[in-house]
Amino acid sequence: MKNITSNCERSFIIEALSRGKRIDGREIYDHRKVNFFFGREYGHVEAHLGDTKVLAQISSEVVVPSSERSTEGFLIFNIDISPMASPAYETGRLTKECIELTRIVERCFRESRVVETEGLCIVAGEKENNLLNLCYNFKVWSIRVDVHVLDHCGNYIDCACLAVSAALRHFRRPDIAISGDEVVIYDILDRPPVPLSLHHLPLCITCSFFDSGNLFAVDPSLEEESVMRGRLVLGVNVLKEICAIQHNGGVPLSKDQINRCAEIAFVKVQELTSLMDKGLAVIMLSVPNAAVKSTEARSNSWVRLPPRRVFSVFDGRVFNLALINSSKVVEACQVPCWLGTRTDDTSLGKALEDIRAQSFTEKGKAS
Amino acid sequence: MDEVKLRCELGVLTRPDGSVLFSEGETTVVAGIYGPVESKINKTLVEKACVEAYFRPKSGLPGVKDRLNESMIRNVCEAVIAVALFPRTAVVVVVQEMQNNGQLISCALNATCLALLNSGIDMKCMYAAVTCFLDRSDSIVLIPPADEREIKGSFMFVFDSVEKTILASHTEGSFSIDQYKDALSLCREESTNIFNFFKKALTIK
Repeated sequence: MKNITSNCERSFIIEALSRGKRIDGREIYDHRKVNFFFGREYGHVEAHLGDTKVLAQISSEVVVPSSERSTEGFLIFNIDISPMASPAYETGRLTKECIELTRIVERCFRESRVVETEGLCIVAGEKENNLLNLCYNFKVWSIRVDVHVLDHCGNYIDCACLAVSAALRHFRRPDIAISGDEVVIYDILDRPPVPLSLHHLPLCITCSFFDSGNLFAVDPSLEEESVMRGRLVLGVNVLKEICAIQHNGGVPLSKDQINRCAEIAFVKVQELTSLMDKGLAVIMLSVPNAAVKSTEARSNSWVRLPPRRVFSVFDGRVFNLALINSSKVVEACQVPCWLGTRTDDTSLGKALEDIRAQSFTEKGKAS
Repeated sequence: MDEVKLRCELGVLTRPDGSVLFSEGETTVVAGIYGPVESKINKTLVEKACVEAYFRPKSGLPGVKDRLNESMIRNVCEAVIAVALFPRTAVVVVVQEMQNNGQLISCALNATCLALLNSGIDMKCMYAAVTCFLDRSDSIVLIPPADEREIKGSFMFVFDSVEKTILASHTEGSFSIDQYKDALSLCREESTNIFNFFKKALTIK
């Protein structure tokens, strides 16, 4: 069931635009009202652009990096247009709109290198000279960005980028300490968490074109979106750099039109970034750093962030004995197995004892 | 016994017919209802409306646990909505998790009840979901203990508003039959508070 606009609505909107007016009373270059709502956890942001609402949540996890880029972390996007966003719902992540949104956000944030991925590296030893070229010694952070479009009242692309930018600035990852071959990851209750290092923050500005390209409006509402002929999405940052351009719909645009849109976008992004700064400044003063409870991690077998996570490089193999809790009980143990090496019980038992002893001294040191 | 703090905001979303932002303690969800709308051809039922439930976790792809929540929401909604009045249509119930402090499924069910009331669709009765936890000292409490490992078991019951019969029940952990009965009576008493909260929320709006 698609969004249907009647002919008289369509002609009314276009007639109004040709006189420089929009049906909700805005000027051609005006954005709708922008609001940010921050959750109790780091990285939880809901952005409102008029009535369009998008939720972004960022979480982090320690993983083994890929063998080609063993010193770089990951930035993973999971973007979903919720069925509550629109009655013309189609669940599944392969709908046209969802794919388009995912690609724009990925280009804007990942391919323009917003997050310093080298800074997400934890353990970057040299590659051992083994035939299989595995890098099991290495550990990096994987930052996962989940975006949910909750309410679709036009221009969810801009709203999604607002939410992701604010969430990236709001997010804090757990602090780590490296001593020799050991890495200790502290729970957010033990040590204050650390912000991500961001190079820049892009935001998207959408210009929609009507009636063979001679009329245009910034930040289309739902009715305007159903009438528009084409759309130009510009991902820009405050340094006046263009991070992404997407031109849909097929309406032909001249070079001057695109330049004019870029100029407008540069002005708009300054306004929006200062709004985001204001919101974040208020929130950062009031968020207590130790009062939040972490939610369940989903993709890994570790259900909750343990009090101490100790990695040990033992005989060249890594044992992730990750869940040593305060009563020195091992809750789970993972030994990565790969071709050629086999772990026997005695060496595993020895590693467990070593870790248990070490975590005891570590705890003594920390407290 | 401390009371669980309930807060809600009705009509937070503009597109859905009924929507609510509901929180029970620290657990928060957003629920949206579309109904009755056109249903997919393969899901059309000739004699009644088909209820579809979607539960989206905050991070990660929906997994088995979310499918379980979806099936519970769907079963309760099918029992409560007057589906025979709307043949060949669909009622779509969508829940988005915002924050989870242990009572997620009961929070989601209460939110869907409020959203259904907000949407104006015909219902046979209201329903309330209550969760209680069995902690280490074998006492049954409504507020989850701060440390997740203290919880030995949890009980979730859904009661209807007319006769307080059980619409759904979900338990985790191990417990004795007497503990189950105690939890049931505690939850039944607590459901009165939730129904009063619903009535207050609707009249204020």
